[in-house]
Parts: sequence; structure tokens; C-alpha cells
Amino acid sequence: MRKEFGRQERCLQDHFRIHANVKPLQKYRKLVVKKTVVDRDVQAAPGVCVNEMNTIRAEYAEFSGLHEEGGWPKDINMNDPEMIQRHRKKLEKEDAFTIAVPLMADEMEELIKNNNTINFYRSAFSCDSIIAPDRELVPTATVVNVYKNPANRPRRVSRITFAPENIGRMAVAQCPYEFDPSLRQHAGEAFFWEIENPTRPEGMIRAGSPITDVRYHPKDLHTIVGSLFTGQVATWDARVSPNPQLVSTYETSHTDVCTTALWINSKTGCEFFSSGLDGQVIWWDERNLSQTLDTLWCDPEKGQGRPEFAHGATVLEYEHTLPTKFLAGTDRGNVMVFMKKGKSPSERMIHMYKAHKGPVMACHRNPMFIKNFLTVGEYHIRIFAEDCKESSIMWTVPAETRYADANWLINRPSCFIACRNDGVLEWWDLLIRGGNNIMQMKVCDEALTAVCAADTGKHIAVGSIHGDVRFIQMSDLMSDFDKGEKPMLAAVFDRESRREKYLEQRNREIRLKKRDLEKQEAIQKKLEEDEAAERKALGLPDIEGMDPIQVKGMKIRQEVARNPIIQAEREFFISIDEEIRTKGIDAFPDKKVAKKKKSEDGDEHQEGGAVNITAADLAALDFHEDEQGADEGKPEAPPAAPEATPSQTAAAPLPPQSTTPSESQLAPPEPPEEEEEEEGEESPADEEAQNEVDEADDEEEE
Amino acid sequence: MSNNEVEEAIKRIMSHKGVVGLIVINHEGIPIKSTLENSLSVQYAAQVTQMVDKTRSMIKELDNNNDLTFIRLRTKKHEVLVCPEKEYSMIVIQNPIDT
Repeated sequence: MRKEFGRQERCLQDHFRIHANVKPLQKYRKLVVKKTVVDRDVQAAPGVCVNEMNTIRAEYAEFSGLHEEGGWPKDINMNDPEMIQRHRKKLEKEDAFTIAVPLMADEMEELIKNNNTINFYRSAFSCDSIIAPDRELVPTATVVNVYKNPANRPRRVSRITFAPENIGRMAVAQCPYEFDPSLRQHAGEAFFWEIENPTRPEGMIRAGSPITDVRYHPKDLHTIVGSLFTGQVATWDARVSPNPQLVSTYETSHTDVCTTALWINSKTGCEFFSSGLDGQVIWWDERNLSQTLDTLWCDPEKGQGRPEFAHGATVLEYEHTLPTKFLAGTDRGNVMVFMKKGKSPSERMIHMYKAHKGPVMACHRNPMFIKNFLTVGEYHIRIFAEDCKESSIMWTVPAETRYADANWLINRPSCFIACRNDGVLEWWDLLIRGGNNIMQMKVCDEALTAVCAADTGKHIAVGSIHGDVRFIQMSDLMSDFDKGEKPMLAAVFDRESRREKYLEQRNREIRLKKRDLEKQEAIQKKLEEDEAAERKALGLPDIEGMDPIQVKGMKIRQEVARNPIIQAEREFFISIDEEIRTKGIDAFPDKKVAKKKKSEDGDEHQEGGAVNITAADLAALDFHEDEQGADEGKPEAPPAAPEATPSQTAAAPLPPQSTTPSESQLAPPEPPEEEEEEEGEESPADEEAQNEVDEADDEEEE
Repeated sequence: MSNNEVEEAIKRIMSHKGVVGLIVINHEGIPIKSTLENSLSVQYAAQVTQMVDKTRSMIKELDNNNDLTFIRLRTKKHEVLVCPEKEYSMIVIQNPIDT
């Protein structure tokens, strides 16, 4: 209702009146920061933007005109030569004619004479050849044609190939890779297009299941081989019918999707081979597809061809200038190089390069330098040199989206194109800029799935996920290749491969060193373990948890225990000990000396028992280690010394008989020392010797 | 006879070096006089008439006071000279000299 709209505004002119005044707060003054560097630009001009638009596709049809004769008056029958002649004659007789012709003739004569005198159109200027224009600095490309998907359902383009010998024909294979049962039921078609005519395809081939790859025979335009989604391969003759001439049988074909089929340059010209996701590479003769010529499993281990371990092969690459080898990219991201005719029973894998973390989407050799090839995986493009086996020589930074396909350009081998899942086509040129692409072009909104360089050298065909193929024309920057650039490109590849080789070598050295170190450590560790085991066997306590001095002591003990000589000595001591205990003084060979000793000092220690060798006895005994001790000792000692030496040394650990054997083991350190104190005659050397023996004793006991 | 003049003129043109053929057409496009065979003459007549019309209209549109005098069409193989008049047109095909 009108009254709901509100009152009509009435504007009055009034003097100025301040309705609100907000003064700045002093407390914020200190917080004010003057910005001296401003990064925002201000422009007072109106903003404009550029937008290009084009119709998606303009339909062209070519017609040529048939010129019929016309102009004859109605009463004259055109086909009657008599009448025509008569009419002509009549026309000639007209006045206007007779006047006009000489006039025209005069003018004409002038021109003719002109032409005869001078050649107007010769090049009058000294430059004989047209100066090559400066190479453009900015590459450009435009979409020239769009070949729309003729089928009603959108199916991604899986392969685009061009007919050989630059005829201007293109084959497009469309096959959805998604696992969708409803899609499988439709028959597959592949279309042939004439490049000049984007309106409708020139031809079509059909098969029972979607066609993943379609290839022209290199010599014969009409023989076509294709690989099917079911793993079979089929051949067609394009002139005869769209249905396949021959389809391989299920038993002999791949057990999974057949991804690529390539013709081989063979003597018969009829051979081709195919790869599949089951991991097989099969050779066929096109005349008989019920038999395979040869098969090979892509087993990652060298020298083996085991089906269970084979990686599925997603792409094949074969270059007829290098007929003995071919490359296969797998779905695990490896690229395997195979020798086609292996000397060993199974065709040998020469090497496997680790390329990507995802399946290898494309693998192509450089048309000029066949030793280098590029592979495309998830987010990277890598360039390999065959000799550098450890890694690729060049690779790109990760892109924003996945790459679907890449290929070298034919006329310019330093340049390659890659298509991405966001509809962007990238151009890379190794000579202009190695780190980044030289140009990106958003071809369409949907993902791009296949790309191929046309034989013209100036064009690229790129296929999208909806089944459309766009034909792109490039500027000269990307299609010219001077003679001087070939050595530059060779230098680029050479430099990078040398760098990789150097790194490889360093890596190897480091690994070797590390291995040696590890070996050393292993040996060391083994030694320690052995020692620990020994210790356990001997009954010595574990080293863990002891302080270094104790550890040292323990180690000495262990060493002593291990040493056979010391062991022998110890056993000897033990046996002597036994003898003395059992036989008494008779154990000693020199009874006279012992008796004498006994009689001299025996009274002091009689309480002990039957046998009590006193400290004096001990002192009298000459330890063979110390001559001094012998001299200082009793004079009787020297003659007896040599013979009695073992017994003397053996006598030392003798315990006083009173104590039990176990206690006695502990006792010996004390009494000899006490005796030593008592009898100062004992030399320090004896003490030493005794201490040594005590130590041996300790070790024996503990 | 005035016809003689016509014949003479034509003969004179044909005698020049490099001249391959000559056609005189009227405003309806009928080749009246021609030294080439009929089908070719008819083709030339048809094409040239259209071109003369188009060219003349273009020149008139750009400048009304201007008019077409003649057309020289240099092709790879030869040169086509067209001299349009009020009622008739003369077409001469000449091979230029190669220096």
C-alpha cells in the first residue's frame, strides 16, 4: 500500500547544524603508526577488463560453385551452337561494340607493353632473403578448431594420434577409465577427423568395448590397430567397415585393460605389440590375432618374469630408430627398459627407473635425443637419461593439479607440452627456461586428458574429459628450431646427466664408507657380546652398573681367566695345595730344608696343626722372580731355591690347617701379612711377590 | 568495315609477347569474342563480372567521384588484365616476362 512506503522525502535547505562531533581520543595518539611504505595502488581511472569470446564452434561446409552459362536471352537455346553463333555475330555488329573494343584494346596495350618491358614485381632491393623477424619474446597460442564429441555421452579422450606422412588426419580414441558398469555396456567408438573439417568426423571404427588406444600403421593409412578395454586388441581396415577385421581372443589377450598398442618396424610390417594393466607385454601379428608371437611380464626384479609380481604397464614407448629396446611405464610409477630380443630365455629387463609415486601417465623419448625420455606422473614431469640409472636428470616442481599427459614437440625437441587436470595446457622449453613453464593456457574448464603434437609442427591437439578435442596453433617461438640450438640442447642434457652421475658416485662412496663403518661396529659389538657370554660362563658378575675401576678389574680377571697359561698355573697351584694338604711336608722335594725350617721356627706357630709353614719359612723360600729376596732371605735358601721354586710359590697360599678350607681361602691374605709385619727381614720384594700371588689367589677364589 | 578494326585490334593485342588469351564480354556476361575455348571463357566471364562489380562498388562507396579504370591481377602463373567499360569488358591473360 502506498502508505506503507513511508513518507515522501522533502528536502529543505537549512543552515549547517552539527549533529554529532566525535573528537579524537588522546589516549590513542601514541598508538598511531605512520605507514611510510604503502603497497596498495590507487588509480583514479575507471577499471576496465579484457575479455575474449568466441563461439564454441562455427560450422563450416565447403561447396564449390558450378558455373552455368547465363545471360543468353530467353529466346535463344543455350545448347544450340548455331543459335549461339548467330547471336554472337549479331552482338558483334552492334555499334557500341565496334567503338568500345579499340578503346579497350588501346588501354590494354599499354598495360601489356608495361608488362613486357619491366617486371614490376621483382625484388628491387638488395636483400635477397627476407630477414627473419626477431624472435618473439612472448609465446602465444590460440585454439583454432574444436572437434566436438560426436557421441551423446561424455567420454574422456584417451588417445589422439595423427596419421603418418602429414596427411592431416587425426584419430581420437575415447574411453572412460572409471569403473562404471553402465559405461561398459556401450560399444566403443573411435573417430577419425579431417583436421580442416571440425564439423563432423570423417570416419569411425567400432568395437565391442571401449577403445583405449588407436594407431595408424606407419606405412598404410587404412590399417588401424586398437586396444580395447577388455584387454583384447583389434585391427581394422578403415576402407572396408567400421567393425573390426580381427579381434584377438580372450584367452590370448591381456587379463586386464589393454592400455597401449604400437606398431613395430618389422620386416613384414605386420607386427605390433600391446601392453596391459595385468603386467603383460604381448607381441602380435596382425594377420592372426588368435596367437601371440611373444609375451613378457613386467616383473620389477631383474631376470625374472613372474606373473604374480608383475606391475601393470600403463604406457609403452617404442622408437623405430632404436628397435631393440622399448620402455614401459608401470602403474606403480616405475619405468622399465626392456631388451626386445633377450639372449636369456626371458626377455630381459635392462633397468628399472623409479620415476613417480603414482602411475606413469606418459613416457616418450625425445625425437632428437633418443637417449633421453620424459615421464609424467602425478604432479611431476621428469626427464631421464638412460645412463643415469639412479634417478632422473631433470624434474619439475610439483604442479597445482595432476598431470594427465605430456609429449615432446616434433619440430622443436627442447620443448614439451603437458596437460593438467584443471584444463590448463603447459608449454615447457628447456632452452628458454628450465625451471618453469614458458606458457600456460587454460584451454577449457574441464580436465584435459590427452595431448599430442601434430605433424605440421605448429599445432597441438588436446583432448578433454568430455570428449572434445581442441586444435591449438602455436606461435613461431615454439615451432622454430635453428641449427644452433641442437648443440645447446645436447649440452643441457649432458650437463644434467653429468651432475647426476657425480651425485650417484658420491652416494655410492658414502654408502660404502657407511657399510665399512657398520661392519666395524658389528665386529666390535660381536666381540663385546662374546666377552659378556664368556663372563657369564665363568661366573663373573655382569659389567653393567659397575664403576670404571671395577670394570677394569673385572676385565683383568676375565683376561686372566681366559689366558691358558694363567689357567695352567692356577691348576698347578690347586694341585700343589691338595698335595700339601694330604701329604704334609712330604710334598716338598727337599725335605731337609723344610725340616730344618720347621725346627727353627716351627715353635711359634705350633698350635695351628700338623703343617704350619711360618712366615720365616715363606721368607726362606726363594721366589724365583726376585733374586734380591733370595739373597736377603736365609742363606740356606739359595741352593734350595731353584728346585723349591714351584713349591715355594705354591706354599704361599697354604692356609694354616686350623681353619676350614673355605675360610682358609680368605685367611691367607692376613697371616702372611701379619707375619711380614712381625718379621721385618722380609723384603718388600717378597711382599710384592706375595701380593701378586695373593691376587692370583683372589682371582681363583672369586 | 568497322568489324575490321575490331579484328585488327584484337590481332594486335594477341601479337604482343606473353599474351595467352583475350576475351571480350558484354554486360550480361556472354563472351562475345574469345581466343580461348568456350568453357574456359565462360568461367572467366563469370568470375570477372562478379569481381568487376564488387570492385567498382567498393571504389564508389569509398569515394563517389572515383571510378574503376582497370584491374590487374597478378597470380603465380600469369597476370590477368581486365579493362571494364560501360557495356563491355575485355580480359587479357598474359605471362609476364621473367627477369
